[in-house]
Amino acid sequence: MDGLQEQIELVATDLVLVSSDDVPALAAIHDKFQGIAQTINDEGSRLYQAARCCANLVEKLILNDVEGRSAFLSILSNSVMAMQEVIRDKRDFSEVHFPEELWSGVMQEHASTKDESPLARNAEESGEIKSEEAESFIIDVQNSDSSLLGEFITEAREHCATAEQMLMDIETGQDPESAINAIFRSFHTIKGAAGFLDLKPILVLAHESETLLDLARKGDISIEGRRADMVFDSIDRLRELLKETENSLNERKTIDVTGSVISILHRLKETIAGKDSLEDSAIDITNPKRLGELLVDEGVLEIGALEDLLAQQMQTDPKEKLGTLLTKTQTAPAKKVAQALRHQKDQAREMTAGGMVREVVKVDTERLDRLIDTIGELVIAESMVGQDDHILALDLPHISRNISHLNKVTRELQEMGMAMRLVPMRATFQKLKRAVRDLAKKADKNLKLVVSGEDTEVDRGIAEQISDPLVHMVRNSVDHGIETPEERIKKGKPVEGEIRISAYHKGGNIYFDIEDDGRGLDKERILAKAREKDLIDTNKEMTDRDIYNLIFLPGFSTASQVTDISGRGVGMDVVKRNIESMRGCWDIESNPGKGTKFSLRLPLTLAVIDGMLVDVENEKFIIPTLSVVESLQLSPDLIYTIKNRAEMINLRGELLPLIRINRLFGLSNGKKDCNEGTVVVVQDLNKKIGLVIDRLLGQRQTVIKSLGSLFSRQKWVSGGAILSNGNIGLILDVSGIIALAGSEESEGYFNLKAGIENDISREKGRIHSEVTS
Amino acid sequence: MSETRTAPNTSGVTTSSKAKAGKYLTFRLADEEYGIEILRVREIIGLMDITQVPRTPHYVRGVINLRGKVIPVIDLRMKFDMNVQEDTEESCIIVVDVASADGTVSIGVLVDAVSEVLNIRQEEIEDAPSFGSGIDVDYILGIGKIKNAVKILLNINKVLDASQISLIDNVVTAESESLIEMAEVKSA
Repeated sequence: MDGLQEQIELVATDLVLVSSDDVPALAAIHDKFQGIAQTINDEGSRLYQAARCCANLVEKLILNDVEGRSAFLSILSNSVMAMQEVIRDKRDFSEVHFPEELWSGVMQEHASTKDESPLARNAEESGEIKSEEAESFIIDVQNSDSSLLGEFITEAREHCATAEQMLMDIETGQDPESAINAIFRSFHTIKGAAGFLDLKPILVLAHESETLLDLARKGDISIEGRRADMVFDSIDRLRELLKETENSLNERKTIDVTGSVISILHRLKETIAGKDSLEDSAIDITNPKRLGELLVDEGVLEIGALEDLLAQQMQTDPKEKLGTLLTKTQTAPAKKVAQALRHQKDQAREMTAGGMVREVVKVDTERLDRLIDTIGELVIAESMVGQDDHILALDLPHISRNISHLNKVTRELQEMGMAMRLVPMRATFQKLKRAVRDLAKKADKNLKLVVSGEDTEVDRGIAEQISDPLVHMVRNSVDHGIETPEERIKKGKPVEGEIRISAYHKGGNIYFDIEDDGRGLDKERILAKAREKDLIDTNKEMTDRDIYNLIFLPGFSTASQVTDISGRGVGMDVVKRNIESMRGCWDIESNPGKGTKFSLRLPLTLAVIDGMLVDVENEKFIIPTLSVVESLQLSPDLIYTIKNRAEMINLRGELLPLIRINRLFGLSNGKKDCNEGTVVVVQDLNKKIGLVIDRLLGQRQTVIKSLGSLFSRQKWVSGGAILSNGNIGLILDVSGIIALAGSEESEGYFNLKAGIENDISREKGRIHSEVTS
Repeated sequence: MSETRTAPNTSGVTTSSKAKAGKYLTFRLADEEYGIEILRVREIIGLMDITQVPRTPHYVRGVINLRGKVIPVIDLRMKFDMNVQEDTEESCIIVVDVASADGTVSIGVLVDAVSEVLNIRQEEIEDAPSFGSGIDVDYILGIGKIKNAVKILLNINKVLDASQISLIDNVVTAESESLIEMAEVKSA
């Protein structure tokens, strides 16, 4: 018995180490199982049967291209574990649990004697669903090479994006064959790499998706409707898994994704299995009809003849290629067919290349940032030399010529550095198209998305950050803007709604326009809602713009019903916050019944800020120009105080809280507040305050720098800017400072201001009565 | 600003990180000599203009522009609660790499003067003595005795514990406190 135990232990170790496609190792395991059976040498013993079944399973793994290979391995290891219990722990066979699939797997093998017909294969696959349910999917990257994994994740994401784009292309009616091939390749690459990195959940999912696509590739099915959704879902799930893998990598922990993987696998398998029932007439045209079309176009073939042939093809053998059939029946000359086929291939190649033949080099973003930092330093060093008094005093023509040459080169270098951070909007828009497609389906609306300016290049950071706001706005348009088809017909509009998104450069800014031809914003309803929620002062006069801006307030939603998509009152405030964090601004135009247009304006790059350089106690600060309303000379008679502490400024009848930067930042060194200096009035949404500074130094464009994670909780400073002398000036976070003046941000913007104004009027009344008495 | 200091470790030195033999960069603070493992040091730069950042612990001098990168500067004298001294010609900033939650960050350490790079052997290193609760020896790796001089070998990671420095939220200057108070008055 000892020999037997040793043999089983050996197999157990081997099983732990083996990968499901390592044939030599599998062969060794196969030998070992047979050896165990020989050692037992008692055909009646269940243990003997178990060993034989295991050997059969391994054989199947080696010989057959079975689906769900990893599931087989887990059955095997469970079986071996059970064997170990019998032998080592001397337990009775009946007490030990052997996996059901071990026996059934053998049964199946006997039943389906290598029948390669799809139906038999489906049976086999559905048998495996069960076995896979029993196993768990866990992402464990503890032992993996993190740099390899990182690369894999980036690459896999790109593949997901390509696959998604191709899928969209199919939906918009482009050549499905080459697109399906491209999608297939993407999944295949992901699968291969995932297998190499031992990421089982990704491997299995990619594999199943690949199986589905393979059927499409063979022309058995088409990727349409539900199946297209299925592939979209698979891509989404893959993305999620990649995200989880990334998390797992970052946090060094294992993540169990069994639930999500199994559910999608189930659906995938059902889709694969259900291919016969889903078959419809549109399907068979995917592959052959293109060739037929080409021939018809060239006048080689008559449409009627083609249709006859297609019908014939359906009847006899749907799998036979049209080309073969054409030559067989001699409907078209073989040479012409061959030409057309070649033409078709060329087209396919062009499609996949898609005009993106530009060669690219992948560079670590960190390295790129460092290069740009260094260039920034070079510019500063250059200006320090160029503006040095001593050098200027030399007044030598060749020196000034050289310096101006240096200047030119550094500027060029700087521009190139900036351009390196730019990416086209294409990828982001791709995401939007996808979102619109899904949203329209969900909301049961008929609409199309027209995109222009996909090649507009924007800062990498902007491309990433703008994506969420754009999706939110498009979502808003789909859900609230575009009417239902019935409503549209009633209003005499085209049934199909239209959302246009464009990106373009203008005057050193990037603009995004999101336009829909829906019902437009309802001013009355917005106002009513705002009053109901107590968000505005009822007596206040409001311009159209003010009213439209109300939709950006947190908790605001005019949708009468909460839908799956929007109407929960979150969304537009997220948009606002996102856009503000990119230092952008927006404009809304709306025509009742005609549609709404949101225009976003963003700076060209997040790396540069347009700011007002100010001096406070010889420290330099930068106030973003976007939030500056005006500046004025401070004079004592403009200031009102409350309880001798809180200060207000009377700005043409409007009372604004006054904040002294020197006091706020602890720079005053105990000096008394002087009533001279400059007040810069800044605004965030509808709230204005006055900031007291010493001096305005002018408007500058400065490179913006994060202060790093150590200062991430700074509320009044949004970053540092490298000044022309190389020093750092802090950039004031206007909304943070305004929030301080409000002290309770969550109170809502308007209530509070009203409160302050009440206080002031009371205070003014008091002062007045004192003066008069 | 006592809230920014770690609680004194009354049980003496319990840290497992002992000083290892190797090269140390030594520097001076008042008349004491300290050492940092040379592998942690990125570079040494002369004193430059430091931009103050509001609402930070008192020992955070501010930020500097290190070739396009903004890094914080810690005044080690203040961090160790020593007497504050005017910066001199010899004052300099040692840029060290410190581990933090999101990878390593560079932090500048303002010291009186750098002395030399010393090769310290294992037998020259002693554990930090325990002083009871009065003096926190948690961030001392060990004491190097070279000839007759004593070098205090610092665990720079502990000294510049990033999680502590980023606790700026709780540290509000007296003046801004009054401002907040003022804002409260307004909203009341």
